[in-house]
Amino acid sequence: MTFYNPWAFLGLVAVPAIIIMYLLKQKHNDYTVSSLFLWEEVLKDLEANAPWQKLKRNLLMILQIITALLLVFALARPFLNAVGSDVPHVMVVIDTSLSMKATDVGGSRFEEAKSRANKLISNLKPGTSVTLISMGKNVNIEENLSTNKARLIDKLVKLQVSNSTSNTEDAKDLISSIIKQNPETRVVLFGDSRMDIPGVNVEFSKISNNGDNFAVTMMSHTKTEKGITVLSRISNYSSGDANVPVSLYVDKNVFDAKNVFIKKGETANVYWDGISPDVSLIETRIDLNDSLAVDNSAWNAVNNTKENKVLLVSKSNVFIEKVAGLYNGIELYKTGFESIDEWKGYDLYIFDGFLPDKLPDDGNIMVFNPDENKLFEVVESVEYPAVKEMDETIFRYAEGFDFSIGKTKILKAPTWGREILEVTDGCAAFSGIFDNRRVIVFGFDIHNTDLPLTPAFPIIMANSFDWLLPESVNNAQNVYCGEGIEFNLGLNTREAFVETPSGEMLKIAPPFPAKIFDSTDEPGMYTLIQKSADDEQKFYFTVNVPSQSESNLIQSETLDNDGTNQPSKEEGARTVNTGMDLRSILLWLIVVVLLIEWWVYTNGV
Amino acid sequence: MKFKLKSQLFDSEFLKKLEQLVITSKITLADGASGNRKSRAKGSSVEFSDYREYSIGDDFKRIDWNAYGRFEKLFIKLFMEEREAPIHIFLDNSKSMDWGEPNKSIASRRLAAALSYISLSSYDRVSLVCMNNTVDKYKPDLRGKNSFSQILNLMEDLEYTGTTDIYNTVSKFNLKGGRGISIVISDLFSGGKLIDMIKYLQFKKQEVYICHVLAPQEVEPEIGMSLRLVDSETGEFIDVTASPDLIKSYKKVYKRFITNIEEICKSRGVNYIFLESSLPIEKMVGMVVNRV
Repeated sequence: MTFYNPWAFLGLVAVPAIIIMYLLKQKHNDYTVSSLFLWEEVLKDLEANAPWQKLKRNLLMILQIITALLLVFALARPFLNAVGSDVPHVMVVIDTSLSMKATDVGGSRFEEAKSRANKLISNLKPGTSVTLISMGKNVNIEENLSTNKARLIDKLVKLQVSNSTSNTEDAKDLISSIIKQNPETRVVLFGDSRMDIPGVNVEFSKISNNGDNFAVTMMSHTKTEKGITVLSRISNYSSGDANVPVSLYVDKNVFDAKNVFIKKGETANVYWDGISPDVSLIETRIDLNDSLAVDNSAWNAVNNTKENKVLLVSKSNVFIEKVAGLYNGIELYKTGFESIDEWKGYDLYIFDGFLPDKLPDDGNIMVFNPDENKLFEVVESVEYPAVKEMDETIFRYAEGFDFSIGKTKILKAPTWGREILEVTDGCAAFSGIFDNRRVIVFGFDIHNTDLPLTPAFPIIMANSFDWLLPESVNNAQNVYCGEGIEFNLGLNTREAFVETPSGEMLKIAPPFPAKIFDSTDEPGMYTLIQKSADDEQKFYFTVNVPSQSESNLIQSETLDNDGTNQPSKEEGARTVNTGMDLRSILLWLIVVVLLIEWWVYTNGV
Repeated sequence: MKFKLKSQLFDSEFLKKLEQLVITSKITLADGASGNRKSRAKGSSVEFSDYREYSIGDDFKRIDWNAYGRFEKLFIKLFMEEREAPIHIFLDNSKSMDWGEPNKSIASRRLAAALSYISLSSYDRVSLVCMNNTVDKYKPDLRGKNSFSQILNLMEDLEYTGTTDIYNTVSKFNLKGGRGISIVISDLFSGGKLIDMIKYLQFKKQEVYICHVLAPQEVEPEIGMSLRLVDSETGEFIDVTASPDLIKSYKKVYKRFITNIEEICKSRGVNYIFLESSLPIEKMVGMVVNRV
């Protein structure tokens, strides 16, 4: 035990002072009795029956001495040292991921984690510096090298659990770098899954009770002629087989309900048919109480996809016409080079073998085989160049670069552009954003290649269209809580907002382009509202919880390589070694002793 | 009956009561106490002592017909052996007796006076011994009502001092006069052993009466705070803090004290009369003479 304020022991002089005061105070009023004959017997009797009677007579004084002693000890700041806790720096890492919302431990795992961390911090040796780290989607240093316990606990109390996964890799990097700076650091993780960092001993305070959980792990929908078909994947992460009641809500009204039998640890697919294509929000809900409620719902937004108007400016290109016809959502128009006045109101212009001096005012641009122009430099024309394989988005899913080019122009990518296809003599294609519009330029004529004859052609074109005709929200159906979203705002948009599921309106633009939107911790349907001068467009997207990675409460505890649950090696290490600041205990004791004293005084014992 | 009254201890009202007590108590006292003594007197010298008026129940043989002839009233001749029951009254005048409300000293003196008067009225020989740890005052062999003034004077002037040691003091007292009655009036807060005193008195052929006088405050102590209890006799003290436990314990000790005395008295055939100082004198006397 260590006393951090030994001067307080000077207060022990209070003890003799109390005794002296009692001696001075104890002036009994004289009362003459005929004889002490009986009274002496009485005293003997009392003392014989209760040997502590003598003490009892001085009980108040004794209680006051005890109070004084306790007070002196409390002021001396006693601290009970624990083995191994004598380090100058403690790093407290709190897992704030979704699985910490599980209620299988206390109020919730997160509350338990905070409570344990609170205890650890409170009982740290005075002067120990603490770094408090929250580990969610983002790994944040909430408080760095602080010795102010009150401040630390305040920060700790204010920590919020998120709906996202925890970014353990970032956390490991951060912890490692802090340890490099402060080698004498004790790392304590409060969470439900272990974290192994090479060369670092991470004490793991496991907060898990293997709670039963069911989750909607995936949800998607397709529009068909018959309406919308929804696929919901329901997973059983409980300790036994179960009949799981599942409901489908359409625009917040119950559409259908099913009971699905799912074996322990398995996942079932549930299909829902016949949903009207006019709806905007579909929700799958598990009507069951389990340890983690937030993953019992998943949402899908249904947007009425508008047809993109595409103008093909070409003498004749049957390949592009055909491939554009295959792409859903394209309304293709064709025109010749001369009709420059009509180039207005399209989402995409495809210039084949030609590029006008003045670009249209709207829409994105795709160019094949361009002439000399002001937009970029055409270097030379080459024949039969060798094509280099490149890892670009427009070539994804296209297996290999198995095509040949008979003749192409070598282009010089402008400052706003980036090479996407390289041949032996230079750049054969580039893409970029110029004047807030997307541009892809290919140096060759499709007819001078065997590309249309390969299976890769429609894929490459589809990838190009995907980029050139973006949805307002990228990857809108697969956004998880905490993830950032990139919006592709329309060219005419003057203001853009996002309405969150709770109805909050968040302005995202101007300035343009809109920053990545990351206020996505709340699951549910979001609405992107784009306001132009004379129009307002709404686009719905949903944010779901990352149930696939967070819902298996047993799994999140510890998983072996083969995916089976193994008893944790840290089973015995649930309680993290802490020293103990005895002050609070002593203060409570003082309160108790004072209450006893008050009782003794009022009852005249 | 006229006596000089020094104080209010024995006021005229008290003396009136004594007369009444004599009338109501006489027969009982004579019958009860003298029965034995009469049988002892048979065959011994019969010495004339006094006359008294005939009262119902008296032996016709003892009527003095000569006196009747002279006064036309029936008189009875009294002889020494018949009327003289030697009665010793041992009155505790230790300091502890001068305590209580009503004061034990007043109650005990009145009782002693009343018993003396009744005895004198019955032509008994009364010896009054006032004692604490020693014999303080001693009036031996008082006879006739006229002697009562001596008793009153003694009582009036009696001072309460010294410690109670009545058992030892009585045991050492040189008791003369053969068979008789001994009445001990005390609070019995005494050192020594009660049994020793009783044995001694019984050895001296005494019929023993113990009048145990206590103040109401000794029966039910009235303390409600932290006190220093000072012994009135010795000045010694003990500090106590009033509590239910303390009072409970006192009552337990008190009961043990009384029971112990009662048992000793019972085992020795001694008459034990417990008297609270708050009792009226006639009741006290009644309680005593009914035992006699």
